[in-house]
Amino acid sequence: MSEAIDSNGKKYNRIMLIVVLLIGTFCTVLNQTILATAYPTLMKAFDISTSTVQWLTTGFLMVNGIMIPVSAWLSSRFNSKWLYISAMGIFEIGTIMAWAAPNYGVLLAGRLTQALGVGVAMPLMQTIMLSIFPVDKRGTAMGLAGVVVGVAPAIGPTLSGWIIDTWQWRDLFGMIIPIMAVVLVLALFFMKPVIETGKPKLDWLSLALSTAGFGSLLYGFSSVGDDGWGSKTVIFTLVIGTILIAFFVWRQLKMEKPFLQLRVFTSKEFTIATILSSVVMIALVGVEMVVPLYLQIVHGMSALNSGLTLLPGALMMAVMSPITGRAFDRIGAKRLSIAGLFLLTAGTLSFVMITKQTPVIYITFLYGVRMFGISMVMMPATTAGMNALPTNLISHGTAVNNTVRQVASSIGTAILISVLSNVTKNQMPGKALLSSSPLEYKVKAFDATISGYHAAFWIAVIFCLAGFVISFFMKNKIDNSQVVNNEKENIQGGKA
Amino acid sequence: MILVLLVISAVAFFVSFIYTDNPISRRMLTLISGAVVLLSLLAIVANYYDHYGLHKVSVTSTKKIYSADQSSSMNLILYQKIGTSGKENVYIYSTKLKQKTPQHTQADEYTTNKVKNISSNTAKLKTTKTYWEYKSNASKFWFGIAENGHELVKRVNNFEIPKTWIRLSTSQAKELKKELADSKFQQQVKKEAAAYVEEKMKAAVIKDPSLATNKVEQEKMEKQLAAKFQSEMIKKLISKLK
Repeated sequence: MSEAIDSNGKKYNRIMLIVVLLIGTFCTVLNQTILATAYPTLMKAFDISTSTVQWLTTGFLMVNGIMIPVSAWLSSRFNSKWLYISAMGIFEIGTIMAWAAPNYGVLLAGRLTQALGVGVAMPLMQTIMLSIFPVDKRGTAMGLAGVVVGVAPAIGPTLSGWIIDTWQWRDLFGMIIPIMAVVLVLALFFMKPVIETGKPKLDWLSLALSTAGFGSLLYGFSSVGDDGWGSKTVIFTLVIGTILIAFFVWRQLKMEKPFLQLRVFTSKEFTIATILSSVVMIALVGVEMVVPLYLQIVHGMSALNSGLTLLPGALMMAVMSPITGRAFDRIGAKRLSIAGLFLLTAGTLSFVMITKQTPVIYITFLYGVRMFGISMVMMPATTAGMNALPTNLISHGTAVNNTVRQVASSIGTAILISVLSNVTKNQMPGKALLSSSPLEYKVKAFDATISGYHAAFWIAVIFCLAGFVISFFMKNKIDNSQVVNNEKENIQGGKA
Repeated sequence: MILVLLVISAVAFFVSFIYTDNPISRRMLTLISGAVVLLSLLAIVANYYDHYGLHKVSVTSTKKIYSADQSSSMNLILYQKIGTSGKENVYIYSTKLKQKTPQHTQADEYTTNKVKNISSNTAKLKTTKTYWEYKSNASKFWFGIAENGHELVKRVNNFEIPKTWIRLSTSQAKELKKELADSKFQQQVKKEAAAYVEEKMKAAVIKDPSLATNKVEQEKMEKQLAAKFQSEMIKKLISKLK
């Protein structure tokens, strides 16, 4: 691994490739959460309702989720240089559309176009990072990737809050355009085809089933927050989605060269790692959503300030991810996962008693402990899962892992938000009290909201505990003979 | 300091579990640092949930108060209902003579108000505030960073007012003012007052004939009678308002 060689056997500058890859993907992933604090402004600017404006994120995440399984086929069909440039190019077009949007329709179209690019870029980044490093360096590589996938969504709300306060909403997109332009130019020179490609036929039926199935499922889960589990839309879309995905799975297992290789699950390690990283994802996104709500509703903070309160936690992830990645290369994922889930569980448990006067600085640090724990599990577990797969299955492994995680995080958010709102609703004092004794009503309403948070955090604790148990099933670092074997396979596979 | 301990122990836990290769020392160090992590988290939760390291301290302050409505000759303490139940009220009073806009008590969930009649002539407001304060310098050292050392628990406002004071709701006070300002009513009262004073004076003179020639004493009595009539009339009015 002294020299980096692409799949055409040519040397290339690996550091520049990584820089271009990470910066570009960072900008795209940032867009998952960048509108969270911009809703009120956009609602005013386009004169639209809350449920309409939410489509800018809901629709984005749906398209994003739909594209992930497709990315596996794309990256085994098209060379990674042009695939990356196309993904970034499409993203840039979407960003320009959103930036210049004269009306809500164009803005939404721009967002969905962006999501097409993001859905490909995120798994592509992981596949490239895994492909250009040998097995014993993948932890470090994925640690760098973890900075992108973990930190970008976490700083999105803070960054957008600051930009909205200082400039205007168009600058949210405007600031990305020049960065993306530079990335595009650099990618022309420094991005290389590093993943082996063939000419697998596109199975249109699989594509249709996957798109409709995951689209419907993600739509269903994202509607739970507004409509509740009992709503007809939610039940209908979830049932349809499950049926379509069942068909999709059946078809993939039957095909000789499937659209998405689900046989990756025959590797026990990959399966355990995928379950683990999904459980952690639920604990991560659910709480990432609930804590800002707590800060804004109970402590009366602005969106920007609540983001700033949690920023140290996000930065913790940025600092720790490369470190835990290196540690992974030394000792494997087992100890890291156990340590991480110990801290994650303990940190989450510290939230379940939260009161309306809990000092904000405690929130910052407890959240930091959680992120510290997550940084030890998320990427190392994913990498361990990928290492259990032969190199030619990595793009499929990444796609499967990311799809499962995406679905898991939408389930997690749906569960936590619905528990939060149901418990709060059930404990709310009657409206009559508001006019007879408004102060008592205020106290009781706050108590109801607080017990909603308690319930949501308890759910998160349950997921953490489940992860803690699963982490003991992870393997320690694979022994040397296996590493050598994998290395051989790499070389035979003609990979860098 | 508790946060410093948390950070140090969490980092120590990570380092000892991940970077210590000797299994025995790894177990020892991990166990110790893990226990410290748990203890510091426990202390944080105990501090914010159970006020660990804090105790309640009450401070009472007393100040002289004056009528809420300085334009009236009556001494008033007013209250404004917050809800319809009447359990939650804001009291209105002045802390200075000739104060234009009077003070009022806080409308929050921490505050309760009590009104008591006393025999003294000056009205007082005794406010007892109860705070969570750090128990000791040690607890301030550990939890001082959370700045939860001066958190209000409750505030009790004890109004001690002379019997001559009148306690009215703001709506009653408004109506009372309107009634008193009514010119028809004023004429009627004037007449009634004159009749009342005359009658009482006559009775007094019969009782003590020397009064008939004592102009000074007469005037004094007339004034007293007029005041008495007015206070009785107002009492009657108020009982009608209530």
